Amino acid sequence: MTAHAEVAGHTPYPELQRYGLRLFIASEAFLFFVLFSARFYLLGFDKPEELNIVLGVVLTAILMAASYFAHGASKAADIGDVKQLQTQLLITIGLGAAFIAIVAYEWNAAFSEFPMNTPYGSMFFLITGVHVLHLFIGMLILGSLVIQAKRGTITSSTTWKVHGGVTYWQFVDVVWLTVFTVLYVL
Amino acid sequence: MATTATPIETTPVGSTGLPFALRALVWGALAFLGGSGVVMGIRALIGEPAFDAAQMLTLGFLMSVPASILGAGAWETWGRGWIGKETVEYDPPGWRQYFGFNLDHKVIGIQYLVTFIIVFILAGFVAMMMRVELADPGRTIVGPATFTQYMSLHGFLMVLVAVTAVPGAFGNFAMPLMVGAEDMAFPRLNALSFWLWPPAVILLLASPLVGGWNSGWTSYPPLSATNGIGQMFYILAFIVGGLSSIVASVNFITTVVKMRAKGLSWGRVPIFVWSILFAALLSLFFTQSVAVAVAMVGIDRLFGGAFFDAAAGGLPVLYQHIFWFYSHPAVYVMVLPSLGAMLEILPVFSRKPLFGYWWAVGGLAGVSILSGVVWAHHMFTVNATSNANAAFMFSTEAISVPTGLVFLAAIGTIWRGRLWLKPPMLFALAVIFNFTIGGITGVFLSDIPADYMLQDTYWVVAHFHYTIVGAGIFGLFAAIYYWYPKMFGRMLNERLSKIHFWMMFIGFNVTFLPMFWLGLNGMNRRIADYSPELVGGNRFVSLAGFFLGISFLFFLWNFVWSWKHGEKAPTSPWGAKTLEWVTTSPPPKLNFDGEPVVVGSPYKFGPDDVHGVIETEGASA
Repeated sequence: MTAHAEVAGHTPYPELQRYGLRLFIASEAFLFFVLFSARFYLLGFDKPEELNIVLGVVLTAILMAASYFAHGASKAADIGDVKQLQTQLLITIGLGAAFIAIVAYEWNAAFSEFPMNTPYGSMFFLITGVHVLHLFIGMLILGSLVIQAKRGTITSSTTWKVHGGVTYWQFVDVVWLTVFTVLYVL
Repeated sequence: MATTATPIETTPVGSTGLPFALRALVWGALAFLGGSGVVMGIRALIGEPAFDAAQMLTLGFLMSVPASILGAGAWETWGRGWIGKETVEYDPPGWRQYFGFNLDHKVIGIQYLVTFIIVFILAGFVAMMMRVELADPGRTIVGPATFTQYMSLHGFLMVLVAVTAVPGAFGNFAMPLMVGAEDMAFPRLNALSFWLWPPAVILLLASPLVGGWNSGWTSYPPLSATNGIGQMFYILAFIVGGLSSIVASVNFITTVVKMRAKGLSWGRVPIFVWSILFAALLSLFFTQSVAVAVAMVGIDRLFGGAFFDAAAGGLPVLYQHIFWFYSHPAVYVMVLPSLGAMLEILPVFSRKPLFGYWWAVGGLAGVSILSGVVWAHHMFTVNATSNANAAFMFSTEAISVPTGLVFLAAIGTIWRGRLWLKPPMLFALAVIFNFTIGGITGVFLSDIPADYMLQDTYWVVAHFHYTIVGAGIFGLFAAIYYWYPKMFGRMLNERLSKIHFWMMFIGFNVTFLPMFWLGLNGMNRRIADYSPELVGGNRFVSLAGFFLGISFLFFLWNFVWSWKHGEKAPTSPWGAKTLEWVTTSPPPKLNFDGEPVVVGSPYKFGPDDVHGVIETEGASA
């Protein structure tokens, strides 16, 4: 079994993979674009007084840190340091879990402050919910990478798995910046 | 061996005890029970009554989708790799290859084709029931409540067929061959995009058990936010089907852009490949928005959200914007590949180059770009006071310019050609005829004052059936008759094919032309009843509709019979030059016995003209 590249001079596989991932991310960006448009169509710039912006800043900081460690995982994969790769990935996943825990706390407060049966409440739960779902999928991907690193199936020829997972993760982190802007700041 | 881009050991899979299709059902059912159990547990924990059918259905279904895909063979082929274990590929011989997570794009194309022919026949049967009800005013067999369920089910199933059949079947089967690739860029994603459909289709076919839903395929709130649980079936199927479209689009675009054979420059790419590329770009971006629209309805229903509850400050019109922001481009996802198939077939059977190649490509591109800025023409009567209506009228009418380029290419190609009236050509010519009527009647609807009169009448029904069936489905059949010999290595029976064509063409036109007249005379769409003076027209349409319905029996018989008993197909039965006709019928596992190299235009039919050749490495092999 050979890669396409060897048979017919096509684009080699990691580059195909990168291209496909970029298309998927473009599509996902459109998802959030539509969600944000809906937010402004429905509510203009309205937002409730009770919104806990301090918590929002903390969440942002957590994901920025997660991005940093995800980048570290990418670097570790490049130099083939499997131990370091696992550590960096686990820290990233841990930060993701902390993020989800804080969002859960935030939701608990939100249920009484701007509940689901108000337009802002619906919007808030939908947008943060969709984002957390993406983050959770990212955690599953990174978790799979940890297991694969442990079992030794991440080698110098399959580092694209790590790069792909990290790119997706960092995309979800960047999306949080826009979510934060749209829900908390504007 | 189906090609995969990473090395995968290719031992046969058989250690699981159950056949894969059955295991998919079992795992799916278990996950469904698990998901609904989780909902009951959580509800009990927070002190709510444990049973909530809608929430249980939602989590149950969303968990059963991945479980059934893994059960279909994705676990062995893909999932084991996620935990660092060896993967094995599903590749049994014979008919069993179609009942599992197969990575071969040719198998996946056939899986798509057969699945959506079945859906098409079932949805057509529902349409027959609607025509029985409409044969007389008042209650005929089922009455208004059941009729609206038929209408919704027919509409949505047919939309899925129209969106999926041509790109799913021929974008998968023919496109990689046409660009000279051994497979799609991402074979496992490709199998995933197919295997997302069976759960969605089964869910929809089960919806009548709970009384279906009554808000049509557009499902506007507030009705869709307050009606029965059948609406959840629609929402979940739309989200899962949408995910399939997005995944498939990534694959199509990457394959076309990155995997073309040596020498296949953009100016030599067959026009069908261009049409798949544009359709994939549309679904890549716009499908996300319909997922948002129906998910918002789902949140209103499941968790008491207020998106569309006007009393709580929500805006039902928001749904229409988001929904049509996808669903207008979606009609071009339905039609562009069919127009591409038409433009692919016309030169072959006219023995002339495609007229104005770059104008045709530009026309398809122009339609794609404009399709993103016309959505509110579905909402003229909603925005009755808005000046934006005029802008949307302008952009909508502007679409007729690039569409005209496509027609220019089509008519320029057959102009003074030597037409060879084989079944694919007949269907391609029918696309020109039908889409002309569909296009011209659309101009009336894009005109605001006319639209105020015609909105929600049978004029609209006739118009979109002329575009979606007249172009989309006739294009689907053109593609089936054209590529069938390559797919199955057998020719279809020509006599049965021509009986099907003439019955379908005549039946289609006599069914839908009178609907324009019915619409002008005030017949409302989506309603089981009508005023008694329209009974003559409706009886005629019903009878014509049954005639149209019978035509597909000839097709079905032909399709099934020829699979085994048809005449053996030569490599290029139509004398076409594109790469899929250079390899054998059906093609070998890796599509070409060597490296395909493109040396000339795909549409030159002189005796010395060559589009592509297969270079084999050394004669020693």
